[in-house]
Amino acid sequence: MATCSRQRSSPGHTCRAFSFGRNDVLLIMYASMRAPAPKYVRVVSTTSELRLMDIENQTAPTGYPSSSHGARREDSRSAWPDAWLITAVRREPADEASLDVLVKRYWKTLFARCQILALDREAASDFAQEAWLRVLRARNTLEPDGNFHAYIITVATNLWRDRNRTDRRAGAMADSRLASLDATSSDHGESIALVDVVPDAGTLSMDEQVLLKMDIDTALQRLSPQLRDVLVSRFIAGESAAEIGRRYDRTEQTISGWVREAVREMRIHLGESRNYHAPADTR
Amino acid sequence: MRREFDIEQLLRWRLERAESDAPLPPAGLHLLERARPWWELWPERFAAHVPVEGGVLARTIVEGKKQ
Repeated sequence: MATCSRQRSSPGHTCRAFSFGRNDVLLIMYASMRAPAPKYVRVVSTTSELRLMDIENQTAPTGYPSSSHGARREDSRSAWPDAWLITAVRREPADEASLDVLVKRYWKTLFARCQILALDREAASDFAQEAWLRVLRARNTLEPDGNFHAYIITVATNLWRDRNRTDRRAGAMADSRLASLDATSSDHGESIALVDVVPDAGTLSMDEQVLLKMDIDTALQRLSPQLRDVLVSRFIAGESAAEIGRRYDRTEQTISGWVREAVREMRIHLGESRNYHAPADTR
Repeated sequence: MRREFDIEQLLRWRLERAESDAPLPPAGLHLLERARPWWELWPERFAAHVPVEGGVLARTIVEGKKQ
């Protein structure tokens, strides 16, 4: 026999406990009624049963709110740490309000990472949503104490890498690779200084910012997907050359070379487009 | 003095702009619906594909949905 030792906070407070049979997964709700305020509530169960609260206590992080208080709880979700939200999303059925908060919390950074890789707004949104679908399909394996932000960014990045791999096998990337190779064969030297053609982004007008965004996207587009991935992994994700090298099965020195190559190509492409968009600057 | 433009800064600036231009996040309910496996969404189709054992399972799912 198991005993529920949770003390009632008020006479009108109802107490709910759930129990599962090992074989028939029988859900039993006890004492969902107003009681005259005893100090302790006794919950009767057989020794072969598992109580839901016991299962949750094993998985929930310390401090996870175990009782429901309706609207007050809804309002407080946005202040919950990831671990609490993930625990609520892991449940069956998942807690939609907690999922909404979690999606909103990381949506912008997730979308931005997809945008800088895919260089297309719709594709970026698709990758970001697909990453969420992957996470939700395996949500019972989520670790509440893990780094969820890094996890979902990695899922999205891997989706983009897989898509590139598929496209490459189909030969669809051949054109972009040729464009990139053509660009490196131009006469521009590695020591090109772009201060005259790429001004400080913080001082630009709105129109100039739009143009600069387009130029950066074009320059990234002209990189091979592999160089773009290496550039973003190194400068945005902050991965070391050794970490990137392990993923590509290459040495640290090779990856450092790829980063230098990507930076050099970016400078060339940006220099070309800046000269094209702002001929007055070069006068 | 001439200085070379920092590609890393440029990429970070582009990332910030992408964050500010991000569309609205999808609703959790919508994502949960889309994340459901196809055999739950179309159990009749699943039953048609797998006539014997799958049929029993699909009927169970269909009956479960009706309840």
